Amino acid sequence: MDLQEGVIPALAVDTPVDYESLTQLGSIMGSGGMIVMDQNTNMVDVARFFMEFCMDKSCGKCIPCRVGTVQLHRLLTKIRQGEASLADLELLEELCDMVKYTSLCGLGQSAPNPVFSTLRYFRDEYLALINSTTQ
Amino acid sequence: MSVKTLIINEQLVSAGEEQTVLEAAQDAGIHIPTLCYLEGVSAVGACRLCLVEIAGSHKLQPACVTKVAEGVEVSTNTERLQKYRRMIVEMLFAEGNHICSVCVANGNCELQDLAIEMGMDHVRLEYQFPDRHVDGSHDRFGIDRNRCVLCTRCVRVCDEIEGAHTWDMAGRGTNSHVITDLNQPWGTSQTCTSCGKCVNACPTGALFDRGSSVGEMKRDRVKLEFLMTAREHKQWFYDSI
Repeated sequence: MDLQEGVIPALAVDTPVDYESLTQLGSIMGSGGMIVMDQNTNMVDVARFFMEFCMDKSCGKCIPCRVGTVQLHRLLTKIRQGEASLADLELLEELCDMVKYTSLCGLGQSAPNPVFSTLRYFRDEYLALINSTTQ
Repeated sequence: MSVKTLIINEQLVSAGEEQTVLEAAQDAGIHIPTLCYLEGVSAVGACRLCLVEIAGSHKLQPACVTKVAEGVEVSTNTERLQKYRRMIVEMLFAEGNHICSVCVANGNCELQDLAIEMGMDHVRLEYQFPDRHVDGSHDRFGIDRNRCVLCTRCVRVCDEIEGAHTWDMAGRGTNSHVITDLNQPWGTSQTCTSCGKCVNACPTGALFDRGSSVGEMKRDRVKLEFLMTAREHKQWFYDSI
């Protein structure tokens, strides 16, 4: 996977590396690069790392990408630090949807992908960090 | 020029083939919210407020830069668009320091108007409280970048109408900001003609006429003394400040 694309779980290890199969899984082909991670990697950290990349690479022309990536990065940091509530998780998903569909170019449109795919396959890792806090 | 007929919000609309969806809607009396759009200068489609839904396309299109086409069905005010627009305005309020009560543009601000139109009664996002540069070096105008929404209207009027191109963008992402000349103080600019078009184009209180900003009112105390001597001694000496 490329830096801006989806995270897919171990059970999809037999997926053919082609455009259609990876799109179905919520990822994209990109340049065909792949990063393999084991269970020691926190998936919220992964999403946060990718979001930091997008935040730095945003050109700043359109509002959803310029502000959205910063806000998403802040929310992911808040979740990682165990300070987020369920409402923050809801806001995270709402922001992801908005940034994806309103951004001007491909950078903003694909910036929420790592959050979408980690939420899709590793939602329990997000919930574990949220449940441990008092709301 | 041929005429195109399209449907906007279930209403049949005729438009010239060179017109944009936004212009066609405006001519038909249909309101689409905008921020970076300014009639008379080029459209950039950056603020994303004028995004509309076009039947058969899953991609939202900015009405200000999308040309009309025969038979397309456009929706300008769906629940989804309203939600996105509200979030865009929330983002702008979280990104800058927009405190209406101490702003020169209070009551005459397009960002404020948009917040009211979108029904934005609070901001759910974390305020970023930036510390951006304020430039008061120009004799007649000032800029408070904390109120800038980066619409680039000033850049476009200065370049396309005045032909001076004093304004430009610098930085990227969250560090984007407008600059004068090659990031020199506005007051020392060799290209600025002091025409004031940027100030009139700005949708917020970022660019303002000096003398109108909060805290710039000067009191004429001598006048009180003048009134007293006039009343008590029937003498009219007045040296204004």
